[in-house]
Amino acid sequence: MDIQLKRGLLEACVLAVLNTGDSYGYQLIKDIGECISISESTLYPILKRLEAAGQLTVYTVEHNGRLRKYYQITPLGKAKLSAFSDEWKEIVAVYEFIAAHKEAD
Amino acid sequence: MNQQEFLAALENKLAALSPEDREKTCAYYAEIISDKMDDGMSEQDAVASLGDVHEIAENILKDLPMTTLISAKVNAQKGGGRTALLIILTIAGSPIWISVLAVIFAFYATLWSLIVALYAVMAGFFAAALCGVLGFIPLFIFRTVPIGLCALGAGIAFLGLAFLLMIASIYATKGIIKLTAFSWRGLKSIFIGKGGAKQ
Repeated sequence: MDIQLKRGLLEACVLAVLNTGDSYGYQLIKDIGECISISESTLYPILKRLEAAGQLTVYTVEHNGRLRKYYQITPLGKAKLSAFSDEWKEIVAVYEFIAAHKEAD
Repeated sequence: MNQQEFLAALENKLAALSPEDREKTCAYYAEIISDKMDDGMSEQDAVASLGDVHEIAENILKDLPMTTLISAKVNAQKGGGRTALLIILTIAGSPIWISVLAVIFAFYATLWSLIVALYAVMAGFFAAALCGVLGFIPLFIFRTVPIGLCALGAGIAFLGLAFLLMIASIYATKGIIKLTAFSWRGLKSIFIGKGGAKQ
């Protein structure tokens, strides 16, 4: 898959998972891995970008005597997520157009 | 490789990052390793599942701006001062970089002059087409019909050639722009690499 496209999709996946509740790195990888393969080193820059863009915030929780970072979606992140859904409707419409013309060929 | 070795190698490779970013990155990977171990993986397996530590570090560094990479390189060599003069000295003092940059520059200069030449020829064709198409009326009136028709035909032929060249030029330009973006990323690895893999 195209790298830019995958990056955009993964950002939306992270926001979508966080929209159902706060989560941490390893759990995010497991959840997103259900639909698209993602490695730890792919997730890290995405989390950093989303944090820098103010779409998520980070807080630390103690777990088993060590620290774990939890990520929480912000209102900005929620807005981004619904913008993504709207955009995607347009993309689906374009896809249907392409598929229909391919069949007619 | 155990967790400690992995994190030490990562920290070592990320010297170009600010201390804060470096610590954040290491904390992220430490947390992932611990979580995988809580999930039942052995320490070795958890570390191995992350992939090659040099590759991880390199990808993080490639996301940094070029200037950060260069000044980090300067600091690593001269131990602290980051004046513009030192940066220039470091770049100028390295024979490898100079020749690499010279080759890249020469390569693009050649390609771009070819493109400019293509556009110039295309402009010439358009001009010839214009002369032929506009010039045929006076030739028609003041000279003979065959000469006028000949000029018109030649003008239209040049117009066709010019359009074909335009298509070729646009494709060539796009190709070079793509190539530039690609090698710019490759160029960054000059400032990242060097001995990292041997450590």
